[in-house]
Amino acid sequence: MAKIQDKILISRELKYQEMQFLKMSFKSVISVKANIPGENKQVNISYLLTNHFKKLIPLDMVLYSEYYDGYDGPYFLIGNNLEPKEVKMRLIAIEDHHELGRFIDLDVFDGNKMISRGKMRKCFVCERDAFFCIRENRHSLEEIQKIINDKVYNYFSRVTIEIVNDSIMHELNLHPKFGLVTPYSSGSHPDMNYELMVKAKDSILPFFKKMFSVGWSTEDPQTLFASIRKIGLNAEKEMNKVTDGVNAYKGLIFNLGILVTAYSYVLYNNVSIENVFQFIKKMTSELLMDYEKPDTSFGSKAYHLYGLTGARGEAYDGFPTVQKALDYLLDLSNESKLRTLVYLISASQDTVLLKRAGSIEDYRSVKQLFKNSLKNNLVDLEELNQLCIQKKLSFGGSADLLIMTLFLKKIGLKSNIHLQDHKQ
Amino acid sequence: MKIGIAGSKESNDCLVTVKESKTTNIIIDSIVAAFFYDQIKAVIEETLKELNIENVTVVVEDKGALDYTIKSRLVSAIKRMEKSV
Repeated sequence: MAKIQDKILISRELKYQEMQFLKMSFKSVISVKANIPGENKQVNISYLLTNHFKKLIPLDMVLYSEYYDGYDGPYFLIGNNLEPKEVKMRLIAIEDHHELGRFIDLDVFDGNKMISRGKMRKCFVCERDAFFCIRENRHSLEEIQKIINDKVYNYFSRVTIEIVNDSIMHELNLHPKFGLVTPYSSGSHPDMNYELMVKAKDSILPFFKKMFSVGWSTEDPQTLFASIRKIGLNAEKEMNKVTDGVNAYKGLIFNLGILVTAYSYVLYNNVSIENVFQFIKKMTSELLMDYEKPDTSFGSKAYHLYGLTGARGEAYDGFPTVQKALDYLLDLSNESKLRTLVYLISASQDTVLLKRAGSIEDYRSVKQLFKNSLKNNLVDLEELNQLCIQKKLSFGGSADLLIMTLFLKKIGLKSNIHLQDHKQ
Repeated sequence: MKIGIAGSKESNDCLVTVKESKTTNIIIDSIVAAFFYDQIKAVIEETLKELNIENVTVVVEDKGALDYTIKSRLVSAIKRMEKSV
């Protein structure tokens, strides 16, 4: 058996030969590869960085692209017919401006050599030129790995929480909204207003960050749900403190908490985000057992009387309504968001709405109104809005699902169905 | 003429070319030559001695490879040279 170092060298040589081969067809050959020290190059962070930066390569540079994996770690080779020097300049800009750019090598091969960036890159740890520190073995592997892991985690955690914040604000700023709180109206919620919602949002953001951290660092997905449930309860407590007990985002803490945790887990473990729903099903497989426990909550009553599983059921099934809602959220325009919300109201199970509607018959007829509105291209929007406020209806559950749909859109999940019948 | 090539021009690697010649020559083109030329040359000389190889021209195009890598690339290049016709 060859030593691991030799296997890495063999793998690297094969890559070089592959680049020479591709050079016969393309003017420039780009290599996208994580810059990870140590003998094990096939670690989670390598895959994460390689995939992340592959997506940042401008499309005009990608005529051909192929993915490889081996002892030297995962990498992409990309071919195009642009001038190698110009390509290198643009890639240096990506490396230099991205917070994690130091951990990726975007090399350009011109047939004879890798185009040099002119200057040596700096060491991960200190300000010296990297090659000197490597040659002199100046820093321990553990020290370097810790720096890489921390920076990569901090980056993705921060970006994810920014997306959470953005998604909540996109929903909150939408107007009109059928009795939900907007910047101009408290709707059917006399105990709430815009400022209160913003305050509540700010109070729960740090808990989503904690959940992200749990998803990132947990190895056994079976334990995830129990861990974040505790964090969720603390989030609720904190929210109640700033809202004086008004339940602004309790449902959201539950739903989006599950989604953020699952997203973090699949991101770190190199599972494609399309599989996040499959993963959520696994993660929440014991959720409906809640209904077996003695429980006097309204949600429990709705389940036993009408078979409505509400928010729990939606999570348990891997958020099928949210997945379908992505088809309606074509962009982030007001119109798309409204249409998505109308869809969510018509299609989701909402036990809070059931409570406010008073009876299962009224609950169903409200849903039918929204279904009709969706069919008629939202012509009766203003009318619906008035009716909901008058009847004090609340669609908080659907608002939560809209926030989740926005989150999914922003992390790059695409709808897989083309909506012919709603474009007429 | 017998010739062998091994390695790559990637960062932290080197491309080593070995060919037969009347005397032994070592040519090093390294991005860290100003500081590590002697060290790289010593690795090559030691490796040639270990393998009992004389009268070859060794060209090393170094992109910041460590001694282990330089030695390993040189050994492969020599093996390939000996197999070549």
